[in-house]
Amino acid sequence: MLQLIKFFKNNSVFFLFVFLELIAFVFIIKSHSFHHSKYLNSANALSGSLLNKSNQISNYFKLSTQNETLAKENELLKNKLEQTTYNPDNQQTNTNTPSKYTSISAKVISNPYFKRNNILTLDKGSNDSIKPNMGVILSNGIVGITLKVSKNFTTVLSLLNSQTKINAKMQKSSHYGSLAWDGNDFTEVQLMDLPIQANIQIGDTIMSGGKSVFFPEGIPIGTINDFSINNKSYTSIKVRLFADFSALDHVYVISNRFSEEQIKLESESIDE
Amino acid sequence: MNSTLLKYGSLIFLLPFLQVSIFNNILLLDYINPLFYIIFVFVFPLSKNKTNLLLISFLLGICIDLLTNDGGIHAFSLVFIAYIRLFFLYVLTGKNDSDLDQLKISKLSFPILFIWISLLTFIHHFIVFYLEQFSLIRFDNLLLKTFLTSLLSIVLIIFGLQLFLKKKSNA
Repeated sequence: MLQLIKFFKNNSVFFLFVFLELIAFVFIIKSHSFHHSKYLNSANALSGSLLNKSNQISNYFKLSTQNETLAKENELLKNKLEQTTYNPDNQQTNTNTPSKYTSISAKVISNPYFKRNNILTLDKGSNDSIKPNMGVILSNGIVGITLKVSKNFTTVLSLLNSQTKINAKMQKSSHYGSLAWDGNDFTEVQLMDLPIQANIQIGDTIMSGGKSVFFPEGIPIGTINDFSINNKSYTSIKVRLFADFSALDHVYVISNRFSEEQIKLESESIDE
Repeated sequence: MNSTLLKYGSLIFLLPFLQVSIFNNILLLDYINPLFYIIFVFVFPLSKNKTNLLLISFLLGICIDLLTNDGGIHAFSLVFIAYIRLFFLYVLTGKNDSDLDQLKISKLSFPILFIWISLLTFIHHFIVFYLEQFSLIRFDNLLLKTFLTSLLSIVLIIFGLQLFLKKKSNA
């Protein structure tokens, strides 16, 4: 017994080393299953406000590009507004029922797009009625899904993450596939599980599919850049994104009024 | 001892702040992002008892992880190089535990300091990027990223070290 104690005493630093490494390793494993990572994320007041401050400084250098993007978006929205006002075909749409989706605008304050597994931080949180599992979009693309929410900050599981799979479809036919990122190039994602019947061509547009509860249908995502066919199925369809992930700034968090209802119903149906 | 502990303990707050507000905004070729905070392992006084170094390294790593949403990657790799730093120094200088009193980081010759920092930085960066992608697919990419990022980190750390050691000798 005495020898055992002596052994531990002599090697106490080594045991401390192993102990600390084990704790760190547990944190790493936990962070890989995102929905269980409660401990270390930047949606806490201290981290959030530091990221916010540092973002404010670098913000001044990006103002002109931000203005340009917002102006473009304004133009697009104005055009859409005019079309809906003057187009007699659209009068059948029932304007009395409120839309299924509402959007909350937020700013990206941390965007490490150079990493393999990207998690963004937004400057709004539960005070602005953001909840976990909401879609985050741009006018020209999908950004990700909200993960953790604190009072004033939110973390977002980016499309550029090995954990993300997002339902998408072809614009011309309604064949579905799912988008994932291989970690190579932040301007390109991969479209998988697309049936051979889709008959794709380079330049075809990919949009969000209506099958996920997070995103409205029909948000443009990107165009097909390259693909190959092997054994009568598509392998490695590359999709060039419309959105520039290196310059994310103003994004919209989409809240689906019926998402909880839909998820609950779907999980109940599976259980039975 | 307590005052040195306080002094180096305060780096737990200073280094993450510098890393997030300055060094995370440095981005060459869209993916080379220097990890400056590991300078901590190179400025902490050499001592036979590693307990303090390991504990502060762990806390510093956790702070970086909190800010970058990396789980425990930085804590893991920083504790690792903190544990092996003395061993590497012994190998490079040919000294051992009994000569530790004569060894001071500020008194090291530049080539030895450079090799010491380079080796540890490379090991640290390799662990970080490996844990980030969690697989050895595209090993060449992993090595290239490690190598290029290490180069930038090493240059910044050596500059930082000069500043830090100069200030210390003036005081």
